[in-house]
Amino acid sequence: MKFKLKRDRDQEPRRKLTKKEIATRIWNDRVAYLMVLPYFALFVCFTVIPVLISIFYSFTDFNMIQTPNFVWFENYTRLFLRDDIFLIAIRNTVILAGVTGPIGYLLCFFFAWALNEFTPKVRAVLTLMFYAPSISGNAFLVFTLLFSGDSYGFINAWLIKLGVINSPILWFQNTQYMMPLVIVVLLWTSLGTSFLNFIAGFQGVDRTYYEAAAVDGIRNRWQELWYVTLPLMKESLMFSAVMSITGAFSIGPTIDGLVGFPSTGYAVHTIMHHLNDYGGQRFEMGYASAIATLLFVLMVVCNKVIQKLIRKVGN
Amino acid sequence: MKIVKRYLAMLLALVMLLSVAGSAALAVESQEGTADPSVTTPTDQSAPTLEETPQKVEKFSKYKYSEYFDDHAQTPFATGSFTVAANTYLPEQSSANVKVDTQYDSQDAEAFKALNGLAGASIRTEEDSTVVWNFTVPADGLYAINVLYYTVPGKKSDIERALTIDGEQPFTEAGALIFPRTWIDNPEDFKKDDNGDFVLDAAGSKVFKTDVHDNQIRPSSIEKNGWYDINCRDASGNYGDHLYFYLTAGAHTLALTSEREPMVINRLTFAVPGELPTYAQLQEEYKAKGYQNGTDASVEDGSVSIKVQAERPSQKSSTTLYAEYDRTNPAMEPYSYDTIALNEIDGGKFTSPYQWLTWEMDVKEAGLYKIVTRFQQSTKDGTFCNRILYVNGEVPCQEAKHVRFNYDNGWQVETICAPNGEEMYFYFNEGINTITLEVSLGEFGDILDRVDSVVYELNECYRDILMITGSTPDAYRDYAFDDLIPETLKTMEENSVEIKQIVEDIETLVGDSGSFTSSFKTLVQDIDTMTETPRVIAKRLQNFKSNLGTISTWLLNATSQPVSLDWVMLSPVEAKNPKSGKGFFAGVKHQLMMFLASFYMDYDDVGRMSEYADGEKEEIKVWVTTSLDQSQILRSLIDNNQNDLPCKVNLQLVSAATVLPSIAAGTGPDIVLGVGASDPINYAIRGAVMDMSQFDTYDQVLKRFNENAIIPYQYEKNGVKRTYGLPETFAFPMLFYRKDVLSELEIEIPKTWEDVYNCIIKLNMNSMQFGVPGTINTYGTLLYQNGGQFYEDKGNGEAISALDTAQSIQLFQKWTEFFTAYDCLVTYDFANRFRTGETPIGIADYTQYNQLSVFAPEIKGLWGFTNVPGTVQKDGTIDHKTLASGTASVILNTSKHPEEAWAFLDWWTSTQIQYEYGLEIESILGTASRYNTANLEAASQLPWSTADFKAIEEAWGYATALPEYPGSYILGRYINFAFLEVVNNEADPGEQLLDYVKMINEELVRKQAEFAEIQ
Repeated sequence: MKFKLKRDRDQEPRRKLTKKEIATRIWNDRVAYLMVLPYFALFVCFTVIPVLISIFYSFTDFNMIQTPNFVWFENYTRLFLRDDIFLIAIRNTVILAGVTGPIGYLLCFFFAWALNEFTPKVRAVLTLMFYAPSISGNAFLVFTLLFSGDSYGFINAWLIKLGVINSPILWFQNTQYMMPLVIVVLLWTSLGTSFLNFIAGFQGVDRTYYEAAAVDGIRNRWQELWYVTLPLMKESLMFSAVMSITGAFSIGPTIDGLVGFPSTGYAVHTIMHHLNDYGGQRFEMGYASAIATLLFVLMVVCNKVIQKLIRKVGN
Repeated sequence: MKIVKRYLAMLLALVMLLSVAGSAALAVESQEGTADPSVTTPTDQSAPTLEETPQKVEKFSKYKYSEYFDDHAQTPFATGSFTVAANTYLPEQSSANVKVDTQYDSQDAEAFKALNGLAGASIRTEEDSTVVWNFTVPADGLYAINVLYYTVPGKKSDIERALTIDGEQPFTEAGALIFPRTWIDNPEDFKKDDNGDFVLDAAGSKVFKTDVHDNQIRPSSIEKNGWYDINCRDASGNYGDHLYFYLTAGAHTLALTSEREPMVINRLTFAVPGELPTYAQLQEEYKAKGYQNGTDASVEDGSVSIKVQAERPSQKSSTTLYAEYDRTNPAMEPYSYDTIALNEIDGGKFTSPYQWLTWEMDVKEAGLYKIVTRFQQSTKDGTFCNRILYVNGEVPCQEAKHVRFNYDNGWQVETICAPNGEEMYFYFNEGINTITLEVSLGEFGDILDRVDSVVYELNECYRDILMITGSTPDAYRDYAFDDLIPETLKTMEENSVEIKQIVEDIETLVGDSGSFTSSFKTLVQDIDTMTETPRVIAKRLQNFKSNLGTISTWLLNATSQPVSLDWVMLSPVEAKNPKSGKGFFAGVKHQLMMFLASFYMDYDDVGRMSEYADGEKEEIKVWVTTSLDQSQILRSLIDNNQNDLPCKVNLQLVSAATVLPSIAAGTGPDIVLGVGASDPINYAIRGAVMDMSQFDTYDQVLKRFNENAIIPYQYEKNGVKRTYGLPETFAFPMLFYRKDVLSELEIEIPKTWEDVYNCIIKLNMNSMQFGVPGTINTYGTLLYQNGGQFYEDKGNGEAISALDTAQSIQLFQKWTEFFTAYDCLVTYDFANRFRTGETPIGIADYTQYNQLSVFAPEIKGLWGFTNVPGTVQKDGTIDHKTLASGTASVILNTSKHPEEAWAFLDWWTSTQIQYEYGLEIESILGTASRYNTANLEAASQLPWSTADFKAIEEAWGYATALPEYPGSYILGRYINFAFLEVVNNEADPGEQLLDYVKMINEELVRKQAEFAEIQ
């Protein structure tokens, strides 16, 4: 097999390749291309094409049943200029993503860091305990029992018993309480993939680096963490950050399970909800596509910013 | 450092766990911050003083049979007997529609020609009749009353009659005497060969029909009308197979009032049933007659003789007892790992008292045999399930009344034994013999009856305490219960003693019972602490209530006696019983084959009887979005009625979410059943569904429904009103009330909303609630009763909200006041609160009836339902209008066979099919899921009691529905927002409503403009 390593290729002088040369190269690397093909095909079919279609539909008035007409930027102007609820949705998304994203990320990191200190068996048990809420499907619905609006709901019953309140509070239907409660539940479920990834990242650090660092004059664990551990697990950091942030933008279903859809007074109405509202309930696919496109752009920008920040780690 | 980090980790874990509590504290803080000090809390006001505690008045409560029997404990059983012929009834006191059989119309006369000489002396009583007899009792005593009756066809439910003697109901249970019907599997549903003879299996019994994939099809049930002879007995099964009535010597009258179903009566016999011999006496008798052990050996080695598959009984007591399949066990007979082989009677259905199954046994050689069954009893851990054994229609001995099926996780093969564990052998004649197993509570009956009384009385005590403390008692206040309610405390003490006795009795019956009685012990502890130091009652009240709830659930579970059956056989006395399983390797093989089968079996296509041939008949595609059970029932209806249908029907079960995309993609079906009420118009304005008013028989079909049921599916465009959906289900709210609690508090059932206020005040004084749903339907009810509307229709399919009128605002305020000023709860579990009596009266969907009748057995007969409160009109009448909800069927515009599709819907919504569908649903999913069909006539045929259906029918007439417009989804959403804002944060109702009305109108106008230019 005549594989040309990347290193060799980089040493060649950069110049414009002819079509024939490109073809030869592709042919030479055909095994690699073949191996990429299945994922690439799936990715194009189920991610790239839908995104493109959605961008296309965002310029139409598609209603899911009839043939769409072009309305050009009508959807976008309406979205930015005439849709008050969209502004609410943006505000809520920013609050939720801004609070649960970073805090969730930090929680993941610190839990992983702390768990890393235990013996493997204890660590495995604890990992399962922390990870369970995020894999057990709708386990967060236990909060709807705790915070049931019935006077026999756990929290209500206790507060009434303690004399704090006299009549039950509709926790998940009262605009005053919905946002803080939703944030708490989201944090509770946030120890997901990125948490596991961090644990793996910590495991992946070679112990010899710590010895070398100790020789080089590292004085405490914080320095060790900042100058040795973190730089060595930058990939993990990056991956987890991307997961946390994108996760924070698309938290719709968890919120629906807690407060129903739409949430009272749009108190925790996010961009995802706005999208579902127009796509699923009002059948305005064109408009929903415009929202989706915007959400897409927002996520890409956020990811870029985060990547920039993460690169600074250890410097 | 390491230790520090470890502590840090622990701390973080703690924080994680406590985050829940933390958020609560957070929320509490903000709540305190916003609490308006000027608002006094209504709970404080309503804490009643001694003077306010209402005087107890004449109570509406049960006089149970057990009390009645105790009250007449001194009376001897009657020694003589006498008979009252049915045709000696008193016509002037009975209903006019009672007819002697000489007056039957021709159709009935036909049916009564073959009455075995009983014709000429019988009377027919309709389902809304009363029949009265005069008779003379020769001597004082307790009599059982035996009725000889003929089951004339009716609504297929058991016949129910209320009995009074001298115009009075002797005890509560006499108000619901059950006279069962008998059923057989429809012979048409068994396989026949080309000559029309039944195909027989190796054991010589008929086999079920199969579909194209070789799956066996469950047979339907048909009624076996005939004469039956039954002692008057109560519906619960707690008192065994007969009730005693105390009669003094002299003249009396007896009246039977119909609760359900017509019935032909021939005679009433007053007598005391004879004693059965014991098994030992029976053996003596057999010996005296010289009976030998049977050695019938139809199988060569003589070890297995006469085996009948349990799923193929010759007769049965109920349509819900039908063949099912268990594919989890390789030892089932018949066995299949891939196709559906019907091989068992499911214990989940063979469970309630009086249910029975009869099998025919063909015995070649007369003699004594043992009866062996393969069964599974895996639900009653620590105890047994009881059955009564009949041999050739008679209970052979006392022990046969207490046949026990003990607990085990898996299937068992056991010989039928006496309670002491001794195997029992019975004599069988040569030829066809029958064996019957009937569910019975046995010795448990008495215990359950006592538990029932305890639960009822303790619930009463709970309410007594609740009236003093309110639902949130102050744990640190001494309410002086000993002074206020000394009788209540005494009742509790008595019940505590009774519970201890019950526990003892259960333990002698089933041995060390462990978990079976643990809930009783907890309750006893509760009561004892509460009665010894009444100071702690307030503190322990919640505990007491939840333990009481546990006992209610226990009661419900204990009444069921589930035993699944695979086969029943007669076996020579010496023969060894076969093994119940097939061993480990058979199990592994079975699992493996099942897994493989999952790749090639199409379980979605079960029940198709024939391959579809091209061009023979057009085929329409029908989608259902409900559950698997429902779709299978519909499929079997389609298969059984193929001749009434204009075309082949391809029924598919899909998830509701697929409907819209498939319409968009143009790959949709012809018909979608069970779509939500707002969907037809949503699809229609986008041109996706067909107008049904264009079909010829449209007007005819429409007459089947409430005239308002069609409103949400109609849409006006260019001056033409079109219909895009056909109603399928229809449900509306009704007012449920507890007769016992209301009569105790002297509260009348409210007729108008003004009465409701009075009622709420009285209830609140006793710390009880009135259940008002915090849904838009309540607002709609108020609005419509006052002649208001949600929408102002501007014609041409356009409308704006009509909620900005003074009246609408005032009614909105009235609605929110229930929750802000009158303390009603927005969120509550109606069924549970109704059961404990905390919410003794409330508005709920009429289908709640089903849930209550199944899950709250302890209040059976103590509650009723009626029209929701109304509004007095100018002419003095009261308007009880309600807003109904429902589902619909639609025909898609892409359908190539609209006429056939319409004909299918015509068939589907017809009375007969809706009725059959409802019956089947009920037989499979139980009474709790009674089908709320939109077809009034079909609903009337479902097994409602006559009185209950009258209430439903009346409410039916008041039900109306909300119209749908483009954008109408926004109305419900914003009204709800406004409502919650007022209720949660004390916002001004008028301001809130007007704010949201503006937004509603904006959305409506925008949405309607979108569709203005289309068609």
